[in-house]
Amino acid sequence: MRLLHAPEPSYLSDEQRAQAAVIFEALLPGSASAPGATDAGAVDYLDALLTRDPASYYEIQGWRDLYTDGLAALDEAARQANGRGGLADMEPEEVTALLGQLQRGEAPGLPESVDQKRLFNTMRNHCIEGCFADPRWRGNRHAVMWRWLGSHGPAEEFNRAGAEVSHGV
Amino acid sequence: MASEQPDAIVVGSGAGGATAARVLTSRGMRVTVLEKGDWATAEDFLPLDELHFHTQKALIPHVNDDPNMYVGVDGTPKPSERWWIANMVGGSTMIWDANLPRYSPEDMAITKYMPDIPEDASMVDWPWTYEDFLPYFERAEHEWGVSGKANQAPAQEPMSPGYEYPMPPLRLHAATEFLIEAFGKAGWQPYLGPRAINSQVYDSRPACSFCGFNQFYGCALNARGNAANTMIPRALATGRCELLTRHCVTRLVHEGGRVTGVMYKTEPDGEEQFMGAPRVFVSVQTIESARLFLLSEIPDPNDMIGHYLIYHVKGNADLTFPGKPVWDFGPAYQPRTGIGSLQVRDLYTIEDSSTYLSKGGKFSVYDPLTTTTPIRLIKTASMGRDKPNVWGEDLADYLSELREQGGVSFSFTGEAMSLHDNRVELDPDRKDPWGMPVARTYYRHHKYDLDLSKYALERVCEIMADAGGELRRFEPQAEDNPGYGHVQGTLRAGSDPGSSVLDELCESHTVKGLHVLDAAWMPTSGASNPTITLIANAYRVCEEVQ
Repeated sequence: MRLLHAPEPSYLSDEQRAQAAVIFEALLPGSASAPGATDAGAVDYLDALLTRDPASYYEIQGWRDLYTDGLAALDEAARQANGRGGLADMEPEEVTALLGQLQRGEAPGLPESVDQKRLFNTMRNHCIEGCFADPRWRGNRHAVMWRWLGSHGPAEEFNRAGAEVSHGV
Repeated sequence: MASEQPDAIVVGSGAGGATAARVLTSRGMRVTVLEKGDWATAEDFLPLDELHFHTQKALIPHVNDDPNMYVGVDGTPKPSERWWIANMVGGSTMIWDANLPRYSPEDMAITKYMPDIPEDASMVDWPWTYEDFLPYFERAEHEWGVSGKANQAPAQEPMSPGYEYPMPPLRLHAATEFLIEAFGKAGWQPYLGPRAINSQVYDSRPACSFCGFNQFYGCALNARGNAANTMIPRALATGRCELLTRHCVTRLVHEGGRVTGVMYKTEPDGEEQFMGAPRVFVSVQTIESARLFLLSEIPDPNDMIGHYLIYHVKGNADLTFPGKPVWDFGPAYQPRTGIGSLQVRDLYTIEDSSTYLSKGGKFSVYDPLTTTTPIRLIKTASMGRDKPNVWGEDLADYLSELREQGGVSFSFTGEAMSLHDNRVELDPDRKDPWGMPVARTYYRHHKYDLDLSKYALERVCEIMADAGGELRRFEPQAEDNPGYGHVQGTLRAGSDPGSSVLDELCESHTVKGLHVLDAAWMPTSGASNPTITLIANAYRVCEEVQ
């Protein structure tokens, strides 16, 4: 009923992808022994999700608007807060602090029009989906999260250096 | 046959409707079943995919265009998702958990087991006894294909002498022996629960493969029993059953206190058409049945139609066991992602001087990853009472525990107080895709419900803590309830026409020939998964109706 789609044009710009990647890695960080959002390519999932025809699922248009406004607002807030670059230039602990404020609806410098808690919850949900959904949805690269967690078979050790080459799907 | 009026129209082809078609045709009646959805096959259920079927809800109505409107504590109507509805042949039995414990004497003769009923709650005895239901439970379990084992534990539902389920229980989940021992130290006796899931070949269907996808997913293997692989084929085989899909019943037609048929549409923007029959059996789930009664202006002299809507009291707790290896003990056991097996009924009635609570409930017991697929589970990841929905390093820690340690997950189902104000009305603004007003639900749980959920969860958490468990998720029932799959009431049955909507045969007091077979007839909520009791009642009504 559903076939794997051919690669499609990207909805997110390279800049937005970099911003979302920083946030997703803070939401589910990897370590030496465990894969995280970056290893799973969770942003590839998000991009593929937002690229889908909005007619195919009723929440897609709302998510497009939320990320367009939300990433820009967070990027601007980051610039003001650290006096350096935007989100993509922040240290991991700075991103974590900003997300903590966002979760409580208390991130400074965001316009009123951005629903902070909804933005946080949506990004957390999409990060988890991008890590644990079937790889056909473009995240969970090489089923890395399933194989490490053991949710669809026995758990395997995670080896970041070998992750790309030793396992095909 | 189309030109000739059937003996009965059945509205809905799920648990109640399909059973009605099976029984009425076996008695020689000609039956037409009207189903709003289409046939679903393995094609519609594969490939098994959590994002498609659970996260993005491919098989259920979407909240944006087919919701209930819910009014809770804050008084503002909000759209709520109806995840317990599946519009297809077989209805929600096509995506159910197939957890089939019976209601028991404590549920039906409730005033005997609940000495201190809160003044504002309407808890009434059922007009039938457990013994009245016994032969129908037994027939339901055999014809629907329920695996299980009688008389494993004193708190289990009582069985007739010599009775046994048609199949042995599913093989053990790897956590089962550890949990039975841990509960045994507290004097509790969990038992292997009854499931409409084949443990061996039965009724020409194979045994479960433990694929890891159960509730919210279709069973492409047909190892899980449902209305479309048990009741419907039996009804159709008689040659006396016609099943019409994409037939949405919009109104029940009645005249002079008798049902004469139904109005239906075959296209959302199509014309309403009439189909006549001297009997109509409605089984479209509780809230939908109330909506249909309201739309059809069924006379309601007692102001009861839509009232006493009841959702079971719910509660969830997950624990992890540091030092215990993950429950994966090889092919003699279910994989950890399987079906699970344990029921705990030791709090069905509560005898504890430290609490005023008396009528309790039961637990289904799983590993966190059993029957719950990863995205759904991990979104609820918690690291204790004060740390729900974690992320960052906490989420990484949670995942490591999930990977390396045995865990347990409790799902509580408890008696809920029946309240007149908890109700279904027609929404004045929103229409469904067929052009009918959607249901508006008003619901707030009683304090008893909230106390019960918390009490029950605390009790199992204490026992698990003694066995080395550390609490992770703790989610007792909230006062607001935008909707839950165990939904009863709204068209209460009883002997007294002055205090009920339906009589003992679940026939309307005011419109003769009109019966209701989903859980809307239940006078109180009971405290177990409701469907085998609903099915047994459909056998009872359809065997006894003249």
